[in-house]
Amino acid sequence: MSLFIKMAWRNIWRSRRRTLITASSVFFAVILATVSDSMTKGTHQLMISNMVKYSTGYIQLQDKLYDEEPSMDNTLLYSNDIRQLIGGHSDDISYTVPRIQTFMLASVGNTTRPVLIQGIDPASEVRLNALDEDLVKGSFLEGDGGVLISEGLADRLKLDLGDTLVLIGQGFQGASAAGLFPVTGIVHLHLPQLNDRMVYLKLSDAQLLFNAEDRLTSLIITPKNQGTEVELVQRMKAGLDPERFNLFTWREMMPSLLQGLEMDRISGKMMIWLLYLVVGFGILGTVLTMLLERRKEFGILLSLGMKRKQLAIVAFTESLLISFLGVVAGIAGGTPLILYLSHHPFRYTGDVAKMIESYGMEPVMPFLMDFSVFASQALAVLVIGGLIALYPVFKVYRINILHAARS
Amino acid sequence: MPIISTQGLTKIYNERIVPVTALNNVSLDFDAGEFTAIIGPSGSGKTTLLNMLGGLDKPTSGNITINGLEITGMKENRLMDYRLRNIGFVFQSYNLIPVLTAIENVSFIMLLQKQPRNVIEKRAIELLEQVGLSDRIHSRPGELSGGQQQRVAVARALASKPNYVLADEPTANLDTKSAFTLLDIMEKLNHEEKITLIFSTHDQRVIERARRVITLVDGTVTTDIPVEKQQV
Ligand SMILES: Nc1ncnc2c1ncn2[C@@H]1O[C@H](COP(=O)(O)OP(=O)(O)OP(=O)(O)O)[C@@H](O)[C@H]1O
Ligand SMILES: [Mg+2]
Repeated sequence: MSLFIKMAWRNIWRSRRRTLITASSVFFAVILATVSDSMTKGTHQLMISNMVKYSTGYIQLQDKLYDEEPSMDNTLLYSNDIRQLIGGHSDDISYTVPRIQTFMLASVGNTTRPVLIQGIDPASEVRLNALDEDLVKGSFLEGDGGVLISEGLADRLKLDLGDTLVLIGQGFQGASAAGLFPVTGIVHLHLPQLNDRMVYLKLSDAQLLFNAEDRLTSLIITPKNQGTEVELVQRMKAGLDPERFNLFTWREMMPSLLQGLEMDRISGKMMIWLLYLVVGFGILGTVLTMLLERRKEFGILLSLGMKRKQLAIVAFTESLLISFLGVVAGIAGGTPLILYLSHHPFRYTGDVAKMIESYGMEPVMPFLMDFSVFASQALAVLVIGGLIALYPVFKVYRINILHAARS
Repeated sequence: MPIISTQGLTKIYNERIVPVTALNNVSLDFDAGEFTAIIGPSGSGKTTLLNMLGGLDKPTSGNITINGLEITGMKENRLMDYRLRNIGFVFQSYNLIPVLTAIENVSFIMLLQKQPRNVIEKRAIELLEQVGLSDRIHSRPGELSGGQQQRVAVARALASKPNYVLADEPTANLDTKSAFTLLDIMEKLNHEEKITLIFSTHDQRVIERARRVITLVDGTVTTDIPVEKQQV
């Protein structure tokens, strides 16, 4: 066996240049594919994680009617029953985040804009999204009665710390909700569509404003272990009246985003496969030339008494070895590159950044450093290389010994 | 009793528009330990005959028996196995494996036969010594002269201790000195290891050393002279 591998190894270096060129085409393809795959995965992960942090959370408990009509009237009473339910699953639940949210009109001077009001419990909110770390100015809902507004909204309404914001809307059961709130903090939100319209209040201030004591639009539940959401929801549902409550996992709350990401993932995959197709033809060309040059030698080896199977092993190994070298080099070169990029995500600036934000995305290009990125590319190339390497095997079994040996 | 015998061996190549009869009803017997030359003009069927005897090609009709075993009807795999164990080849154009060194080339068939490593190495070194190449055992064919390559090829053919060695114009590409060295080696092996040697040749120097000379003309045996008996 080692003899065959030795032969295969020496054979590929007989046309050193050709092997190097073919292997480097694999090398560059692997680098390109891993970088692009790592970027796709990194971007998707960031978008999902931003969505989870600032919007949906991992699991949400809502009133049954809120899903159909998200109004103040369909909020959830944060009752002892619910506290007990949460307490009963304390082994699986890490913490909960209460929120009450609705749309209101915000006006400053004669500018009026619809804004999203969110009443939050600062302590538990930061556990989910470290919102306090994105504070641009002021304080993070420290005193009572102030609002924390998003940076984009501050820009649009030309608001600064100390300015007063007028909020007008509807509260619980038809009560009108209106109030004056000083801006005590400005925060940068990573979801551009939220960054333009977000106003945070303390939960108690919001409940007072909406005349909705102890009421929440949703209670966000964070499981102890990521990936256990679905089972946790299943178990919790057993203790809940399905006529009154809804429990959603994050996947159920962002179907259109996930669908969009899936489309993006597929189109990215197609590009990568197209790249591999091109590289595959390169490898095939090399293998075909090799077969042509070595016809006589194959005939001789067979007439010396080498079995077709043994010769097939040499030919297969030798053909696959070229792709294998490219893959190994590609991974060796790609690892530090992606490692670097994953620690130094590319941040867009200027007009490009604005354009990307207008699509509702954060203007940053993160890279995911994950074993799966390399494993899938390596596997793809080796499968292609392996399929191509089957051709010489087929040829070896069909070769006519005498004709080949005399050619 | 002959170790190789052919009966009515005929080979017709049908590949061209006009079929070519390369061998026509050749019946020959070879005894163990022979040192035989097959001569004849170009195109007379020498290579074809050697290929048939070595099981590299199948006759159109007639058959070949080796040690009482008919090889004509054998399946490819069995024939290959048989060839591996019993027949050594020396080709006119050396046909060494370019990526293997001299010692690896000589070891090649023994490795295919899965002989123990230490046996293989000992035998390969011994053979390369016999053909006078003990200082070149790690050279690749590309680094050897034609004569040296042909000597490696002979060593390779003998490595697996075949019962007989078929050599197709082994000296055709060699200068006089190399040709004689090679002949000496072949004779010595024929004597010492009792290997049957059958070779085709155009070379008068080689013919003189043979103990039996078979002449082919247009695929037919015209003369078959046991030189030894003549000399006696
Ligand atoms: N594969 C083949 N297809 C068709 N014809 C062939 C083939 N091999 C040999 N022949 C023909 O058979 C005849 C005998 O050829 P062979 O090679 O046996 O001659 P030879 O005696 O070895 O000649 P040389 O001394 O030139 O090597 C020739 O006429 C040759 O053209
Ligand atoms: Mg010939």
